[in-house]
Amino acid sequence: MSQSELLEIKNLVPELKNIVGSDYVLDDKADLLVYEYDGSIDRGNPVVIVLPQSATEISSVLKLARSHSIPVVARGAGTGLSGGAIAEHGGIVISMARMNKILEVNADDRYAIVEPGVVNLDLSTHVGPQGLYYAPDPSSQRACTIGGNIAENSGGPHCLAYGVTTNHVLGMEVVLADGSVTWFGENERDGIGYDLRGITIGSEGTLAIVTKISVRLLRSPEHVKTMLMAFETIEDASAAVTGIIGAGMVPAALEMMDHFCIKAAEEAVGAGYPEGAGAVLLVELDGLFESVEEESDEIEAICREFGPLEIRVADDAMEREKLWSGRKGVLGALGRLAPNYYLVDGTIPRTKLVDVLKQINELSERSGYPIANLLHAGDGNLHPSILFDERKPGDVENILAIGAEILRICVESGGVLSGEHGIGLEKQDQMPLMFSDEDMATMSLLKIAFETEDLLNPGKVFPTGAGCGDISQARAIARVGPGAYI
Amino acid sequence: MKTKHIVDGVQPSEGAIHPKNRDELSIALSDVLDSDKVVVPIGGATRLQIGAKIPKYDYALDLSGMNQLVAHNSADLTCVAQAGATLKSLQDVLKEQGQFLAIDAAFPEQATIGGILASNAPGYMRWQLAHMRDMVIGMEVVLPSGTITKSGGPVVKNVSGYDMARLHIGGYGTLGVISEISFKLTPLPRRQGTFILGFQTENDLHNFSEEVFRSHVMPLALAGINSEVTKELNLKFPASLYLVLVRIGGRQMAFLRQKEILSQIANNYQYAHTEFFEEDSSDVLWEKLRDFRGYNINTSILGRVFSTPTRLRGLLAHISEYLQKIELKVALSVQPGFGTMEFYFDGVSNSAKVDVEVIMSEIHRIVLENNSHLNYEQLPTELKNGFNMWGPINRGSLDLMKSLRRTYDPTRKLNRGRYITDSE
Repeated sequence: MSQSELLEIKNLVPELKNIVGSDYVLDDKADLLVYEYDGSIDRGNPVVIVLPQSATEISSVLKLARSHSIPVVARGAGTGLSGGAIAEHGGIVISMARMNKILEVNADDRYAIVEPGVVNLDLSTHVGPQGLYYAPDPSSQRACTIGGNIAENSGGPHCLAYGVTTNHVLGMEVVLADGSVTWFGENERDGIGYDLRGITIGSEGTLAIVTKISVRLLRSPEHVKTMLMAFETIEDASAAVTGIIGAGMVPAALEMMDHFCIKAAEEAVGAGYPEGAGAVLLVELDGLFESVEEESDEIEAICREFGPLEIRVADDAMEREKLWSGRKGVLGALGRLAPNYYLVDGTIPRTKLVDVLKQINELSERSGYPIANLLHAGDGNLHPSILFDERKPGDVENILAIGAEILRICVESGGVLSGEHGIGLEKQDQMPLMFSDEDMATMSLLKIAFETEDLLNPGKVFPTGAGCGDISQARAIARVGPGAYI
Repeated sequence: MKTKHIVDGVQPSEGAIHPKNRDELSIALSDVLDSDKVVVPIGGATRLQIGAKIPKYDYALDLSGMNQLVAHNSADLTCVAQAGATLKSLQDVLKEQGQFLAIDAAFPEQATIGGILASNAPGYMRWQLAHMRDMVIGMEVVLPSGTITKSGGPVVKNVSGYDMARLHIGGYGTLGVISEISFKLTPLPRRQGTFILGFQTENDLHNFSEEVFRSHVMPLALAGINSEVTKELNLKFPASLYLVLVRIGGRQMAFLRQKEILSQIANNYQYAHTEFFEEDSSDVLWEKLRDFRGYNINTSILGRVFSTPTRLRGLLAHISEYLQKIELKVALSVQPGFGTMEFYFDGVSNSAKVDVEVIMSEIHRIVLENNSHLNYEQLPTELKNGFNMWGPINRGSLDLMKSLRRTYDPTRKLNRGRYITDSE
């Protein structure tokens, strides 16, 4: 961003203060620092932050921005892992922190209307006493917002049986780039016309800014059963996963952790995972009591075919919480194994788990970098985490190259670049691995149909033009700052 | 010329094209260079009656030759099929592996999966398994220009680029022609059956359905039908004004438990009749209901209402009251948990005291007053002239839909004049 562009935006601060109130516009250098990064390796430099409280205020901000051709990036909690909330081209960041109200809960029709800044877990906590919950549960659900989840079409461990964000959103109020406010869908479960709701979910804030969301609520299950299966090798655990899905069973959650993750989780939270296991599966079933019991018997029988070291069933809610605490705390715990880690997100067909994990292990051995494998195994969503030390010269370049290689393996195995973190800045230059020029041009047309000036979250999703992994890596290294790896 | 290529009584002036694969489909579309020419993609022609009256068209793009199952990864619960495959041909193969595609559109022997998706065909199996768009994990589409493009893939979790398939589900082939689809599959329930209760009032229908909704029963489908539908389906429930059909499935013990819960709920009601259909007889029952399309295919009017479960209660009461007042015989089917309703009446030889246009407008008014939406899916051709079959849609969304239509099909080569985007 040039000095003159920067000055032009600074000059708009009084007008922005008129729109949202003087307390809710930040342009102090220290304040801006907080908004430079998200959960990814990327950084950007917004010029001003606004914290609106309504769609009307956002509409006014967008109209003002458009009249000066200033880019705008919407931001939830900043927990995203692909750089979706990074102000790559500077400009204005719209924080949804103040739009955090649960506006309506309709238990009879099983929906809730929330503002985008509502924290994911807060909604389930709020509707829990009515025997309801909101199914998508990203690992960051204690912090991430539902608006951010929509931008990235977020998943979570329990999305195996119940689907990701797009399967749970009925309608949305949005502000378009020209400042107009409209609804895509409402509270009905079906309707006529193009599915504007569906196409906006997962579009990483590039098509519209979501200001109200109508989400589907599910009935809390009658019975929940959580099981831990420990295996000698990750291959055995992977084969068990393939066996479970192949037998036509879709548990509520089916997670896998390798020996690195087990070690880290044990040291950090003492989840009670068995020592010496090459991998553990965390299987959760929910639903009718009879259904859960019948399925758990079958799953146990399948797992026994692969010589488990241990099968343990959580006896009560406390034991269940303990088993999950290891899984939920594992990313933070990886810091015990190395100063930094780089988390990769890709999805493969579930039948390819054994083969792909073998290739990742070989890559780890060849490169000398340990890779901890954490998987939403039931839906083939891999999260290999490359352990490294940013202080060592060459480590950053090397781990980015390894990450790119892992994604290449995923795509060549019939998989995709991202299961739940999105493309953002992180993977935009790897899009050609998966899509032809025609595919990407067709997607780009969508952006043009929504707005011609490319002011909403510009520079995301699509390749920068280089289409080359080395250049992508160089860009990432240039952007990244010390300690920014997650 | 095949009968199936006649749309609103109009034949294609240049005839039909029968592509066998994506490349032939691409060439077929790119060869239509004259901007005046109109192409209508046709699958099984089971839902071609939907939309505004087509004034003329030039090419029928018949996709029924693109009917191959490309891949069935049974251990991965996914499959890939060409758009022209019929739903039944697909289900037959999947069934051999104990799986199915959770879509139960009407006339599966003729209806193609591409057509079902493009026309957002309804089905009853939506209570537990949500919307059919949730079964689509990837899609290949040929644009009006002939460009072949894809999004998604054969994996069940994916956020790589825009989810383009969403636009084409319910897009009535106005942005491109679906050529191939990747689906996620569902294991077949080991046991399944249908619990039927006959009631005397709409209130009981709704109350019972809501109780089921609040219980731990997880129905595969739940529908309420009035005595007109019962009669047309040759079901023998003489003393009931409404029937509620609850389809349940699962493993043995879970199945029995759900059946028991339903019986307990039913005991709270003064029902006129109850019955339980298992396995094949249950299948046949839902097949009949699924394929029910009113009284006379040429003169029947079909309206589809989109609402919420609680609004549907008021809506049904108001519509029933109105129908009683004008003495119109109407077949009604509601899905209380999903919030949708379908109604059918004969547009020509009906018993009503008022004109059919007045009836259609009045029902529309009632629907709007109840904050719901109505789409007339089927009208006798003579009633289509100038009538907005799609119903109103908010201005902002409509403007964007028109922008999408202009962007992807600037000459309106595909299905010109028929879709909501082509209204003035």
